Amino acid sequence: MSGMITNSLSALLAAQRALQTTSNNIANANTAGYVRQRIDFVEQPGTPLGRITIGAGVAVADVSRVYDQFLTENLRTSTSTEQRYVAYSNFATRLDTLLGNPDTGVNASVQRFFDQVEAVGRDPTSIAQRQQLLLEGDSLASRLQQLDSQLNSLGNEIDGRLSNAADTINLLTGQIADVNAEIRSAGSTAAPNLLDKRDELLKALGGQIDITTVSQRDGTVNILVGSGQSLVLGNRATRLTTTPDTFDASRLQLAVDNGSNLQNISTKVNGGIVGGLLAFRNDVLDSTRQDLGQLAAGLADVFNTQHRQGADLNGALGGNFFTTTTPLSSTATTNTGSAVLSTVITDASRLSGRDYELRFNGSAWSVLDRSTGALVPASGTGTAASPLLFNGLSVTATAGAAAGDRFLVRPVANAASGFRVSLDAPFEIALAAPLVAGIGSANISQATVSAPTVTDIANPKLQTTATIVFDSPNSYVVFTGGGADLVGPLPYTSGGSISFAGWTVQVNGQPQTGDRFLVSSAPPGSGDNKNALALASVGQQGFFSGGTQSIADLGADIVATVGATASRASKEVQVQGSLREQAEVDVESVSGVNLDEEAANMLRYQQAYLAASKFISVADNLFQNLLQIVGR
Amino acid sequence: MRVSSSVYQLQWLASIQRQQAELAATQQQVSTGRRINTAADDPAGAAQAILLQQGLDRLKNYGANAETAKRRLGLEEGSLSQANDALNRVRELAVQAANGTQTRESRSAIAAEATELLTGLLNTANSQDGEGRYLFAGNLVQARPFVLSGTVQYAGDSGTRLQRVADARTVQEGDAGSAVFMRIPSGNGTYTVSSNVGNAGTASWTSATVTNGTPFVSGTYTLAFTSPTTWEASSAGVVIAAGSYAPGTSISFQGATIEFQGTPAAGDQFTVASARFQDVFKTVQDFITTLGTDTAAPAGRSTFQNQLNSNLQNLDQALQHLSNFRSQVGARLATIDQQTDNNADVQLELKRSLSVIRDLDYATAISQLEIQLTSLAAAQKAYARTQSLSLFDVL
Repeated sequence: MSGMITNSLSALLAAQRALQTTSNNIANANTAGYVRQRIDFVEQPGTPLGRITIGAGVAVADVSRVYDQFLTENLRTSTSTEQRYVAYSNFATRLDTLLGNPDTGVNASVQRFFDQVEAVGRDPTSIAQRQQLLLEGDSLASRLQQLDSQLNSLGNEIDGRLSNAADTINLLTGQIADVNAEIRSAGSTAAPNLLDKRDELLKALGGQIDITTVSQRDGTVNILVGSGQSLVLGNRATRLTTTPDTFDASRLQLAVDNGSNLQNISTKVNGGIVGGLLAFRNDVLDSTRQDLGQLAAGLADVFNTQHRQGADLNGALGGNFFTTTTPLSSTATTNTGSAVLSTVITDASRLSGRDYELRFNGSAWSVLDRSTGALVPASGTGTAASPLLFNGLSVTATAGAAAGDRFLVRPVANAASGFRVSLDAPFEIALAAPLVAGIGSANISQATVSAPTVTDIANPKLQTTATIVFDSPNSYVVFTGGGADLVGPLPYTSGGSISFAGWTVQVNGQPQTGDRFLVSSAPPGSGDNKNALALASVGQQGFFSGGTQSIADLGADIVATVGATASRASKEVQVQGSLREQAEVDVESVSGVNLDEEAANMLRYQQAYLAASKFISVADNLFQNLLQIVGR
Repeated sequence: MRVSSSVYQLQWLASIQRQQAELAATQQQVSTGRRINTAADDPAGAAQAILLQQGLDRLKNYGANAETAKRRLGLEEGSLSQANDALNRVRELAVQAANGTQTRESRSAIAAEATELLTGLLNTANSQDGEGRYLFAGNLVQARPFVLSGTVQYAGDSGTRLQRVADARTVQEGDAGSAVFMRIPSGNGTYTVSSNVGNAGTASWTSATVTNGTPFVSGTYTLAFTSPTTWEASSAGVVIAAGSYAPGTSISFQGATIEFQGTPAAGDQFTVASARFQDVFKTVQDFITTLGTDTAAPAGRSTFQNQLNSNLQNLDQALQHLSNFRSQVGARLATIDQQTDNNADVQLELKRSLSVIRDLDYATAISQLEIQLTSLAAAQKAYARTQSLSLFDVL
């Protein structure tokens, strides 16, 4: 009889626990990171009665978390990857908006500038048009500066976000270390909510940075980042911090602070927000700034080169229209020597926008492409007499380099920010050809002379008035002034070239003895537009990459590259987002609460409870009946 | 598969957000009318669009260049036509003056008109374009090129300006005044004939041509009549040809054939020399000077006739010269027109390509918008239906 009551009592208690578990599941149906709990019943050992054994009721064996470690880890990794691309894509989209709009990008400014070059070519003596060209040059310069400073502030923002991420990570690792400690002290009876909490913290940490977890026997979890640096060991968390770049103090890198020294892990981090920020900075932001710098340096170079071939409104040879800053050379903070580098661009057309790392091994220099790490062939020894020459650059080092010293050369890092119009006055714009040819007023023949072609703009006597005199119909002499620098007599053939102080002309026809032709500098106030015509087309001519890529092409390429990055990143966000979603569904399908299931369980346990209580009353009835029979 | 209750929510939310993002993108395309709003929408297309747009901008510049060149060439054509009219009138006057019935008074009236025409010609040569630049000053467009001080001096240079009207095509937009008005070959273009001051006979030349099949040997020759019926030609004192003469016959030597009329006196001389250059103003001035010649005596009469012949030759040269320039200007204008047509074709093609790349196909976009709206509505309905299902409702 008592067996019946104890059995029913155990069933009553078990159903009560089961209902409690169900109600806890229902209560936490919407709690993030909650893992549903399941009650496991077990039979009580029975009482043997000779050949038979009578059951002794039910007991609660365990309330377990319905949990699949691999699915949870999968969710953490996919969250990490998704967050990487979300951070990356956010910045890529902003960059795309900045540069990729066909109407407001840098190309539109360049085009407007060249439109004005055409306009000034239509009326070269107009001071108003020349002034307008200077203004368009200024607005092109400020557009480049503005874009560069916007890119710069993206870089600063990334630095700020890296520090924030480091703070968040330190907060999370601290909490994980605390939970680890609690779990360890509770041993195997650790409460399920502690485990849930740790998983949730690990997921949040994975969203910040990609981590590897190692479960320990005592229930704790160790966390590794980068190339195996530990972030959490049991109940101890290691601080993550930001540290200035070896070459550039204004740029932050991520480092593990293990008490004695800082270990830079920036290149080893791939996932999470931090991975996305670092990847965007290295792969996109840096190269975009370099491309923009290359565009600025290239544009200044081609335009200046042509501008120096012309004569200004006073007849003097043109100077540089634009200026850009010289390349940046910086020394690593770890250098032991005292050498300082200085770099100049010797051939802007060979620039590739790359940064270079220079290493000194005690006797010789090696040059590495910073983005690929590949060795760049270079000649020279780095001294003033024999500068290190590679890819259109010339590098000179001061004495004092020690073995192992490293240097960074950034050829165009400041080219966009330092881009300026260097002319002050409208008359300085060189739109005319520097030389004009004239026919002597007393010439007998009808021979004509072509416009002079400049072959050596640097010739010191280029603009000195020279006279070609035919001393016979078949020969001529050339001289300056009253007969200085006399050359000739030289034989003449009609249409043949006559070359002198850096120029060449052709005389056509049959000159007579005594006929003269004069080559002199462009007169002041000349309305000639030959150099304007040449200037108008420099943007279209092949320049970079061995003469295959024009300035205009580079401009379009920048837009396309930025656009492609943004487009790829946003597609990646979609892909990674749905992978993360699937991982979440997978985890939920095991550990999530289904309310219908809980409702069914509730009914089941309710019925079990009712049945058990009914049996107690049945047992009671039986007992009362027995007492009545016995009592009679 | 087991589905947890919150998964419904999660999946629905994700799907709604995705659809809303797509809808927003389509909406932006429809509202801007562009398929590419930033390069990310189609990176390769965006780069191509930039280059096409630059091509269009260049064509616009070429259009403006062509307009400028056309305007200036039009002005040049007008000026050349005015100069031509003036010279034609001077030539008419010269023919009129040659008439033996003219009196001293009528000639001075002709001279007065020729002087007016000279002033007009000078003004024409100094004409300016709309921007106040001198058309015939070469590249020294800011200074008045032709200045009259006794003779007319040219203050410009021989430069000319080009305008680019297509990627590989430039058009000369003017001619230097030195070429147009100053460097005109004198005489018949090959040689000149002038009578010496002091000729006593009545011989005057009526035509001077280059002998058929014999090129003129350049140099300066003296043609002297040794008697009224004989002549000899000499170069630097050396006699190189001689012959007999009768009025109305021609004399040929060294490639020159000159026809004379009248009777020379022994010792009368004519100088035959290679053509030099003479400016058009000098030609008109010479004519005015000729008009002042005293024709009372027969010798003066023939001097007048000889000078007038030279004047007429020079005027014809000038007219021919201007006409050459006019046809060049016409050819350039035709080139510009033809190139402008070409550019218009290219522009149309570029615009079409740009539109294909950059602009939105509204039909596709609108139907896409409809589909997206429908599926968004469907997702919302599905959510509402599934969410209303719960076992707790029926307990």
